[in-house]
Amino acid sequence: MTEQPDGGTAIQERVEDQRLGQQPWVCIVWNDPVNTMQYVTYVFQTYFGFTKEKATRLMLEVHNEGRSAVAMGTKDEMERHVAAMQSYGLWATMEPAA
Amino acid sequence: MRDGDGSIVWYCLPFEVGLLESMASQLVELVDPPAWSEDPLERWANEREAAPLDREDPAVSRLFPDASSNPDEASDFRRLMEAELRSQKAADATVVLEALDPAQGKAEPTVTIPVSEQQAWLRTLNAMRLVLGARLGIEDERDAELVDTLEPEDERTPVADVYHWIGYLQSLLLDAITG
Repeated sequence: MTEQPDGGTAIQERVEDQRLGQQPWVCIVWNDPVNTMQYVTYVFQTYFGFTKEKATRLMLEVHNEGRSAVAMGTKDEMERHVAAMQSYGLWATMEPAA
Repeated sequence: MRDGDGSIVWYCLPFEVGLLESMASQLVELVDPPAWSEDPLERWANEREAAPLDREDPAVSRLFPDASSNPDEASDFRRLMEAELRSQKAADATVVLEALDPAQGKAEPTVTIPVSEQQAWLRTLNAMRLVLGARLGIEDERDAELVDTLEPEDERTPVADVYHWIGYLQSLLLDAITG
């Protein structure tokens, strides 16, 4: 590993510390009896940009296990994602990551 | 049917245009969006003064579910996001209403849905299904199956027919978009 000037490293570490210091949150999508599997898969692909395989896997997790954590990040980011999922009519909530 | 530029053309029946128009208008009434203004300050005031949603209505509570099991978090989320969500849902339904407008009163109506409006259509059709599903009392998979097999004389059958038809339209649209 090459040596870094001290100042630069310190600033870099401080930014990392701030990100790590925040409790991560997750966006949960819940199973519901009205939304179709086709639609839920499409929303995951379109909004999150997931591949069809990943979107289908998460949709099946929602369907079979009742819920799936579809995204993780800061609380603000998860608020955005929950609002977006709700704008599509998916039943979405947020919670601190376990 | 899909055009060269990705537009989807829907060849429909006159009563279908009327039915969808009525459903989309009812949706706008239900979400009751805060009044729009060019002025951000006025818009913010409108959002603050908007009448609260009637969360006793199962259709409303399904369109705007609590974002957290923690009441404080759920209330925070509503404060931050509810006005935007109400406006978004109304704007989506308005896109549908405007696309239906030229087809009104035509003997052989066609409705054209450009790429830029397809997400609004999908979201609106889905919101209509959620509202109808709530009106039909669908709360779990078993309720959903019962609604699929109602007797013709059941009083819920007319609503269930519309619910199934909207689902069919949504799946046609998804097939056209992804196909």
